[in-house]
Formats: sequence, C-alpha cells, structure tokens
Amino acid sequence: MSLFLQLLINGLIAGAIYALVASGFSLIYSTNKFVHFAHGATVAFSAYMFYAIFSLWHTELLASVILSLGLGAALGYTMNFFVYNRLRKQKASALIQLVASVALLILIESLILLFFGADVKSINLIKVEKGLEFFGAIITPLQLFIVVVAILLLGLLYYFMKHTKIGKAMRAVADNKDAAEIVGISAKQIFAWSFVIGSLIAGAAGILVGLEQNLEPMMGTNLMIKGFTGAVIGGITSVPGAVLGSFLLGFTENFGIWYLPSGYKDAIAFVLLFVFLLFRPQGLLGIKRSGDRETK
Amino acid sequence: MKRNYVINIGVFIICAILCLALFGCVQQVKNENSTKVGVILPLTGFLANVGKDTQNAIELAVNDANALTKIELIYEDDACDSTKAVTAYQKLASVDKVNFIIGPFCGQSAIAILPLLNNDRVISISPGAPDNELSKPNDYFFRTRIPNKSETKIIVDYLVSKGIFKVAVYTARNTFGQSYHDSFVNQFVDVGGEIVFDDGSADYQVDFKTDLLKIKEKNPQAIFLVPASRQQMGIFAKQARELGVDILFTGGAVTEQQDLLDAAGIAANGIIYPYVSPKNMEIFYKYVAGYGKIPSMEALNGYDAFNILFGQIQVCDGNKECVRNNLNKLKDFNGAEGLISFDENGDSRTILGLKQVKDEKFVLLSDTND
Repeated sequence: MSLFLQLLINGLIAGAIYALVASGFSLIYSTNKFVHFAHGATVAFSAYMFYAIFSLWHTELLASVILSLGLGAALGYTMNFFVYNRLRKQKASALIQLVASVALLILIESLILLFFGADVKSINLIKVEKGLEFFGAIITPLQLFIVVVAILLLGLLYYFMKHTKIGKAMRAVADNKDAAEIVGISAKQIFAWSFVIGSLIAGAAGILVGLEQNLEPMMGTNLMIKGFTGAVIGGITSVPGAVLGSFLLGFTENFGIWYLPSGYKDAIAFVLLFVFLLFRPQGLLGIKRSGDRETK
Repeated sequence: MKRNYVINIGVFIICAILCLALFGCVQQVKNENSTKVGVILPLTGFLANVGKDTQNAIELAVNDANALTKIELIYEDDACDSTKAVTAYQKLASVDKVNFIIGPFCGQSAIAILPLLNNDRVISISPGAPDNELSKPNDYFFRTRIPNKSETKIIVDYLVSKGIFKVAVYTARNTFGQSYHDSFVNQFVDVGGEIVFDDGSADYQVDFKTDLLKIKEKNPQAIFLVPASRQQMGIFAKQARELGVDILFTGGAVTEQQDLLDAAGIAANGIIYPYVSPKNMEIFYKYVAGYGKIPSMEALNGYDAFNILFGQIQVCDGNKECVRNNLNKLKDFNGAEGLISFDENGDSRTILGLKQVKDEKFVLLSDTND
C-alpha cells in the first residue's frame, strides 16, 4: 500500500509541474493556433529572475514572486508584440510561427546562459531533510506546496476561462476567431492576453521547479517537451484536457519506471504520445470535428 | 514586396561578407609567431560548467607560464557530443592545422576522435576522459586524468574494508557512466560483492524519486553513484535524504565539484570518493582567488595538461614526434595535483586518496598509493 501511495505521490508531483507548463501552452495554442515552443524559455526566465531578485538581491519572498511572475508575463507579452504580431501581419503560416518560437527559445536560453553562466543555481529556501510521512509514503512540505499551488492556479485558470469576460472572449476566439471579431471581440487583444496569462502560469511553474530541483539554462526546454506531450495527450486546444493529460503522463512515467529501467522514462512518455496520436489524435478532452483535427 | 525581399537578401549577404572578412582579419593578426593548440571542451550542454572551469584553469596556466605570445589557443565546443567532437577536431586539424590538442574533455568525444588523432598524428592530452577504452599503447592520446579503473579500485577496497558487500549501482547512461559502471561492477563482484540494484540516469534527468524508491526496496548497504553531472548527483542526494534513503554514498573522482554542494547542500555530507589530492596548493588557491570557486579535479588536470604540453613544445621547438617521444617518457612532472608520470598507455599515474564531503566541504579521508 505504501509503495503504491509513494508512486502515486511521485506521479502527482511530476504531473502538477507538467500541468502548469501544459495549461499555459495550451491556452496560447488554442487562441493563437500555433505551437509556441518559447513557452519553455518563459519558464526558465521566470525561474532565473526569481533567483536574481530573491537570492542575489535579497528581496522579500512575496515581492520576489510577484516581480518574477510579472517579468515572465512581460516576456510573453513582448514576444507576442515584437515577433508574433509582425508575423501575423505578414500572414505567416503556423509553421513559420513555430520556427520563430524555436528560435526565440534558443535565443532566450542562450542569453540566460550568457548572463547567469552554466553552473548550478540553487534557491535555498527550505532546509533539506526527510519529508512528512503519510501511511508509509513520504512527501516534503515543498512538494506538498507545489501540488497545492498547482491545483489552486489551475482552478483559478478554469474559473477565469469560464466566468470572466476576458476568459469567455478567449474561448470565443479559440473556437472561431472570425465570428468572435464580428461580435466585437478584438482578436489582437485576446492574443496578447493569452500570452500574458499563459506566461504567468509558466512563470509559476519555473519558480516552483527552481525551488524543488535547482536552476540550469536548459530547464525550460526539458519541461516544455513534457508539457507539450501532456497537452497533446489531453487535447491540445483544451486547457482542462492539457491538465488531465499532464497528470496522466506523470503517473504513467512513475508507475512505468517502477517496472522498467529508469532510462525508459522518456520512452514511456513518447509511447503514450504516439498511442494517443494514432488512436485518439484529438486527445482525452478534445472533440473531433469532420474536416478539423480537433477543437473544444 | 519583391523589391523589399531582394533588398533584404542583399543586405544579409553584405553583412555576412563583412563578418567573414572581419573574422579573417582577426585571425590573421593572431596567427603570427605562435604555436597553435586546439582545445576541445564542452562549453555548452550539461557539462558546460565543468568545461568552463577547465577553460579557466588552462587560461590560468597560460598566464602563469607567460605563454600568451608563444601559444595560440583555439577553443572548440563539443558539448560532450561525439559527433560535434569529430566536427571540432576536423576544423582544428584541417582549417587551423594544429598539431596539438588539449582535450577532448569527455570520454565519448575522445573515443570518437582517437582514430583520427592516430591517423593524422596529432597529439592530444585530455584533462577529463576517464574511459578505460582509451588506455591504448603507441598512440597519440595522453591524459592527465586518471582512468576509471584506478578510481573504482580504491572505492571497492574501501567498501570491503568496511564490510560492505551489498551495493546499488547508479551511473549515467552514456559511455562515461558505462565505463565507471563496468569497472566498479567487475572489481566489486571479483571480491565477492553483490550488486542488488543496477540502473542509470539520462543526461538531463532531474527526478529520481521513483528510482530511489526502487533502491530503498532492495536495501543496499551503500550506493556507487556516478550520474552524468554533479548537479544530478546533488539532486539525487537531496531527494534521497527527503525520502529517507539513509545509506553510504560513494562516487567517482568527478564528485568534487562546486555544483554538487550548490545542488545538494547538507544532503551531500557523507559522500566518499577517490581524489588526486592537490599537492601544489598555490595553484589551487590562485584558482579560488581568480574565479571565486574551488577548481574541479578536471580543471587542475587541464592546468597540468597545458603545462606538460607547453613544456615539451618549448623543448622540442614544436616538433610533434619529439613531443610525443618525450610524453611517452614523462616521469614525475611536478603538476598541480602532484607528480605526474605517463605509463605505456599514455595514462596518468598519480597518487590517489579518499575524500569525503563533510559540513558541505570536501575534506581528506585518507592518503594511499595507487
């Protein structure tokens, strides 16, 4: 029982982090209709900003978090304003925008490497010691905090999308941009909002991962791959689907490597991805329409 | 639209030509009256920090030897990738026409270019490649880095002396980790030890919780741990402490890096590993003063690699066969890590000791001869 519970907790922690990355990514994809790989760079950028503001400049914790999240959101807004808006004006295809996003990811991570160096950065907030024990399974206070914060943020995002004017406008643009514009919704403003909110959530993921696992310049790319996988499994245009897919990914990886060597962890993730692409390409919560790949 | 496109392409071409011309001019100025030495290090990727440390140490050696006007170092980044290492070597050999290389740092990179070195008769001294497969006689490859089998022997002897015969092995899933794995497992099983758990990590892995759960279930007395980077080692140690995995941790000589302490904090305390004890503390402290962190073993190896090579280039006036012959006979070179000799395989023979992480510092545990 304790073994099963421990594996469940391990999967829950991993899934929570993937879900934070995937939800922001999915939000941006569903409204903008292209894959924004530089979302991973936002994760890394926010983590390093938190490190700089909290550890190097010794700013108070809450202020550091707010500033870091704000800077992450600003980065997302800036990328949309200076890069993607211009590409949209030139009627660039989704493929061109994807290529641009990969270039942005490499650029930002290279700048992080240049300014902060390649050596390990630690945010030593909590003393390293044995975690809390529940029915034989162990979870540290920080890991518990990560899961709780992730669930809270995802809940807030869900509420935002369902019950606020901007959230509803985002869903309208995601569903049918032209129809949304006809009824007076500015697609351009919604694109900007999607980047701001998606990047805020990515920033939260970056800070939490930085606290748990330390910082390194490539951290965003690795998380982005897992977040993207989770989003596809759950339904890439469905934010709740992306969350569900990410938790499923976290559980599958951890239960999978209990029985297989740990080197198969990534293979498990991609096998799961392929299974869904082959048999349910719209994902868990995506709806397949005739003529479209998926929508919700 | 078409006119704008043509103008944009034209501007791009002009900029590219200007960049190439400027680069060529800079190269022209640097080329005169100095011996070119290629340096292949991982300056990006998961070992970038160690590569940078080694670069710092080599630069320190150049300054200390007043070699700035005599040696031109040409750095190439292989990111610890064998394909990139081959590309880096080919550029150094065919474009820069070097006869001497410091590096590659990583074992898989060195293994990849070894046939090319021997074919082109380019001399290489590696500060970092520990793989046993590189121990070959009559070739152009030397290393100031001790081979894996010397390190693992001292760990096996220590474990046996403590009555520890049930061990878990967790090493990187690459040639670096595999070499450590094979050396340790063969030596430990030979003395009657039992490997109760045997697995490894991917290069960028940062979540070891389920692996640690599996190790805990097997109840080993100790673990031999050599993941791809010291950051991984630190995260592993930290997660082990959090999960209550309370066993003796041992590692390779690569353990001693600041990254381990930064990543693990107090969780690193108690890790035991073999180490070439620095004998020339002046260089050690000079590095600390210059770069604000302790030098890794490979960084000191890089310092020695440069000095050994530079010394022979001076003696032989750049004649590479003369340099090679002298390197084959190198005995008791007074390096940063003590007296260095090369054996018949071009491997370094130096004195090994055991060290331990204590109170988040690297301290000597014992001193033994190899």
